[in-house]
Amino acid sequence: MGIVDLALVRFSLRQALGRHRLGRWAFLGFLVVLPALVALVVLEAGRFDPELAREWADREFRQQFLRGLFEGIQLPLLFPLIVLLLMVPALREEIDGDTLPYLWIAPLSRGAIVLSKFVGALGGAVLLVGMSTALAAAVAVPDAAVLGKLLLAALPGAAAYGALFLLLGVWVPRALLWGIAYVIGWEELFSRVSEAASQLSVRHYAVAVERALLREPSDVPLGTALGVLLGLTVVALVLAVWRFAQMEFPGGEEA
Amino acid sequence: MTMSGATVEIEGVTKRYGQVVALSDVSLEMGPGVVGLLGPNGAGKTTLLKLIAGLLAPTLGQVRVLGGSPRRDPKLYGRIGYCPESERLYDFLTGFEFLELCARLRRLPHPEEAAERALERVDLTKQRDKRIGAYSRGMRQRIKVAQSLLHDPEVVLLDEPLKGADPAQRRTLIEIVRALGEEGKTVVVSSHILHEVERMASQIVLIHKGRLLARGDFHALRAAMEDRPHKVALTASDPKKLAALLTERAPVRGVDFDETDGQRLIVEVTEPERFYRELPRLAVEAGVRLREIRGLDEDLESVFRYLVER
Repeated sequence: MGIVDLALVRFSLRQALGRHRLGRWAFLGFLVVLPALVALVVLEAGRFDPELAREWADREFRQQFLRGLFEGIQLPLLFPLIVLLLMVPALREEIDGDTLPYLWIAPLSRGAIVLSKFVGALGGAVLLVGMSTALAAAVAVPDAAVLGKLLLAALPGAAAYGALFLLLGVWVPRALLWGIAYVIGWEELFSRVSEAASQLSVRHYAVAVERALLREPSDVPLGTALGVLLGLTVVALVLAVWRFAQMEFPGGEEA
Repeated sequence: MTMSGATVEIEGVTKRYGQVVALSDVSLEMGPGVVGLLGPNGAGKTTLLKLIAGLLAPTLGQVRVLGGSPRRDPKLYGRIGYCPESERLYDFLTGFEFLELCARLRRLPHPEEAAERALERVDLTKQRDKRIGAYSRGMRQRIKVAQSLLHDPEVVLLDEPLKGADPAQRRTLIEIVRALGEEGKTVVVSSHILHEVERMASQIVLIHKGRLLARGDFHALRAAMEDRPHKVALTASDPKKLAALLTERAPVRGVDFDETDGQRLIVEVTEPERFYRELPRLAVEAGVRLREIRGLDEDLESVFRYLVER
């Protein structure tokens, strides 16, 4: 038995990208295009503000603007929300929808089922995260090298968020609400209260990876940041597999 | 398979959900052939099937299928087929896509062919490219059965497979179940409808309120049912006259007047067949017109009540 099952990865990807209520897709679309919209607004504002127009003409300014978008709203807020919206349903919707027994009765290790769902949903999330970054870069500074580094920087953070949200989905009902509360309450608000609080957030290490890749100063070395994010991903996945293996499926006439 | 030939072994299994006991100290073995799991709604049939399928863990006792525990050794699912009672499916997939996915998850060498064969087996080939969300209840039932048989399993667990199927579909499904039994597979099929089980299974397991009530040959159960007293409600033009005649000459244990309807008699019959044969003649003889004859306890619940109280 392999670590992941390719058929299940493809199925999970299809579920992540092809089967959502209209409202969720609309929200996902909004999250994806928001950074590009912000860049467009600034670009348009340059028509009425000659100083802004002058600055916008400078490539260095636009690169810093793109970085600001990435570090300020994409990495700490938009990406976790995109990952949340695709990762939590990966198993939670199957649990609530009573379809999980069809996967449970497959002759696959419990770990292979959970990891395949994770990889599939993460693939979908990374696609949307990539689209979001590429759209913003297309408006601000269409530089393939910068775009590539930003995309690479987004990956470890997305994986860590993904593993946390998958665990949340396996463990608790109403996981989407808990996840939103975590992203906004912890990652976005609490982690900005102090430096110590910041160190308890995924954002802190994801930003450190981005700064290291763009050769910007950071107080966390790349190795440490990657180690923390990877460690978090592995621990969350191990717990998710353990929780999944303990699951029972009552329901039916006796429920 | 064990020395005794059992493919499914259940030893002292109890399943509790908090304070609720869904199954209490059940022990039984099942081998090749069709076993009907019979009991009223809420009896514990689904719990027992889910325990065998490894979807539930016993609170006490142990369950072994093909010598192991599918919960601990998922590889066993390659030899077990399970059709859940729940009608929830992946509605966004077509029937073919669903079966192909199941075939791939079971690592079958030719998943497309296996899916086509399974569709054909349950007579859904024409609906292969239709989304499951647009399937009728009977079609959903058949696609669930199809996925449970895709990989030619040795043990097949079918939870209420006939629910929602129309008469023609029932016939098809019953034939499939019987054929599986004849092929030497262990088939455990649950139902709360007696005559359905009778058409599929020779062996039955009776469950009531989480307890194993009886198990064995179907004919033994039938005999037990024939012996039990039946209650029959009769509405007649002159109930008093009819009551007197029945008490005197019919195979009855007692006759009461219905408290809510004075025209209605509740008759406790000892030999149902003889009673129904003689009733018209007695009514004619007494000059009484019968308006209603209704058996009050021919449902499965009453059979179980009788067996429990016996």
